[in-house]
This record gives sequence, structure tokens and C-alpha cells, in this order.
Amino acid sequence: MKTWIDLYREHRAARSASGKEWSTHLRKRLIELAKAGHCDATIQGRFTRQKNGDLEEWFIRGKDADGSKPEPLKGLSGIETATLDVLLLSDPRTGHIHKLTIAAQGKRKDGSTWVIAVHLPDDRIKDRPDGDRHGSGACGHPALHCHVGPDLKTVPKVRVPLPALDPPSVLDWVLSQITGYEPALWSEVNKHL
Amino acid sequence: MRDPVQGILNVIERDESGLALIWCPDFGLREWLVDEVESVLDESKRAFRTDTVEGALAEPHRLALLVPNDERGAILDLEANRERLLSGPEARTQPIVLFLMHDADGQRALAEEAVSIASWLHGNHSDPEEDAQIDLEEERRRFEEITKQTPEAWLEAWRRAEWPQTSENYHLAYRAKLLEKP
Repeated sequence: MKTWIDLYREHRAARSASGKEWSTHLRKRLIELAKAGHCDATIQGRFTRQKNGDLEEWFIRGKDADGSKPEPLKGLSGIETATLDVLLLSDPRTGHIHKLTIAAQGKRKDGSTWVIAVHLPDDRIKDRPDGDRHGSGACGHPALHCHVGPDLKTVPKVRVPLPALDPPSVLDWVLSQITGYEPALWSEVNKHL
Repeated sequence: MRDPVQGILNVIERDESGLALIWCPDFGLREWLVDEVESVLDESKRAFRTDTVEGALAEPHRLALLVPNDERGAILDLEANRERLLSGPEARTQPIVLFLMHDADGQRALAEEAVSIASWLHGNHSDPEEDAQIDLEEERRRFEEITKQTPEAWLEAWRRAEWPQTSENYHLAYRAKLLEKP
């Protein structure tokens, strides 16, 4: 059980670990995604925010829309259609992350659907009395988890536990699964071993 | 909706060879805001940071992020160097983006001691924190127009898993949480 308690503690600590810096790093990742030809270059000015008191929402504004929209992706090998969602709720002053969703989904060329969705549930007691402790426990429903499957409803509803990654690293991981992007090449990793 | 990122880009693009002002709420958020502005700029602008007016003037072909330690001194230097800014030996091709904190020395100097620069900056300033603040009633009305429900009612159904877990509904859920009343 200790493993799962430790993981939950790490997930909680990671919410506040990087101040507000994650927003700038997320935008830089999105710019790299555009440079690689996988989304529109205007994304540089469309990863934005709105706030209401002590809550701030981060999202990608639609290219021709007022509010947040799934961002269309292109040029993905073997994939017919894809969209990317980057959604966060945070404290506008400290950058503490209350809730996060970074997800990619779409259809393969054979028409079948796929989804990779990383979720970090809302930790505010206001949202639920048990905060981010969903499901029956920290193993089956880890706070930071990823769904991988044809959609989010097909059983078994797999929730893969993730280590305590910050939002830019979560985006790195999701993009590495579908675009060939690799932020930690073995040739570079080897230099640090 | 007002967009803080678009607001920053608008003031920088409005006068590409001139001067733009970004208001910061306080010292604590200033460094983060400078990073944010830098991250939305095109690489071709070759943005760099400096804390002095002289440093900004020395690079007319690069976008200068002027983050002064001495705000009043920077405002007075800009006022004194207005002619150089307008018609120096080499015409600027990239703007100087000045960061000032609300209710601090720079704002007071701008109002009381630097009429020319204040006039130049009139209409060429952005307040990202103010732009980020939603008009709650207007945004709730827009949400209700789309969903035919209040944010609270929509969220109640979302929490009961009555809405399909689509990408579009995740976007609505985040928006509803932002708009939810205490």
C-alpha cells in the first residue's frame, strides 16, 4: 500500500511544485508542435486564460472561435483525424493546479476511434467532499492517470497511473505517443547516466 | 471575450517601431508575465531583456523587454530620449516593451513627470490581468445560451455522469467550473 500512498502524496505535491512557470513551458511545447507541422502556427497566441476571482482557466482558444475548442492536429502517421485538448484550472497567483486534462483523440485510417487522455481531478473540496480522491482507492484511481482506449466509456475503463509529472511533461508524453516527438532521446539520456 | 494574450500581441503590433506598455499587478507576478510575453513573440523579433532605457535603445532592430529596477528613472530616461526613440541615428524596426507595476513609482512618474511619453503610450498599453478577468454575468449568459442550463445545473448532471465524456463536454465542464457561483 505504501507505494500508492507515496504516489498520491507526490501527485498532491506536484500541483504546486513549479509555481506558474508551467504555462510558459506549455506554450513553448505547443509552438514546437506547430513548427513540426502538426497544428496551426497561430497556436502561439491562442493558448490563453480567463479568471474569476481565485480560479483561472487555461485553454487553447479556437482559431475562429471566442472560447476553448479542441485543437485539430494533422500529419500524424496512420491517423486520419485527431484533436488535442489542453485544459487546466489553477490558482492565478500561485499557479497551484486544481485540475488538468491533456488529451488527444480521433480516428485511425480504418475508421476506428482512439483516445489518450491524462486527467488530474479537481482537488477543491468545493467540487467534491473527497476532493481528488475518486473511485475506491489510490491504486485503481490514482490522482494523475491516463486513459488509453477506443474512447472514455468502453470497459475496462483503464486508468494507467502516471508519475508526478508537471503539465509540460504530461504534454510531452501525450505528444510522444502520437507525433514521434521525443524530448528525452536516449543519446542525451546516456550522457547523464 | 477579452483575451490577455491577444491584448499583449495587439499593443506590440500596433506600433512596431515604438513603445508599448504592459501593466503588471505586482513584483511577484512580474517575472512570470515577462516570460509569458516573451513566449508569445515570434523568434524573428529577437527579443531580449534589459533593465535600462540605454540598453533598449542600443538594439533598435531587436524587441526590447524593458523591465526596470528603477521605474521612475526609466520613465524619466524615456522622456529625455523621446527624440532618439522617434528619430535616432538608426530608425527602430522593433518596439520597446516596457513593464510597469500598478500603483508604483513608474505609474506616478508617468502621470506627473513625463507628459510626452504618457501621451505616446495612451492607447498603447495592455493590462493582461485585467483582460483575463471575465465578465461573470455575460459569460454565464453565454454558457446558458449554449447549454440551455445554468453552469451549476450542467455541472450537477456532469458529476452524475449524465453527459457523455466527449472532448466538447470536457471544455464545457472546465468553463462551468470557472463560472460556478459559491
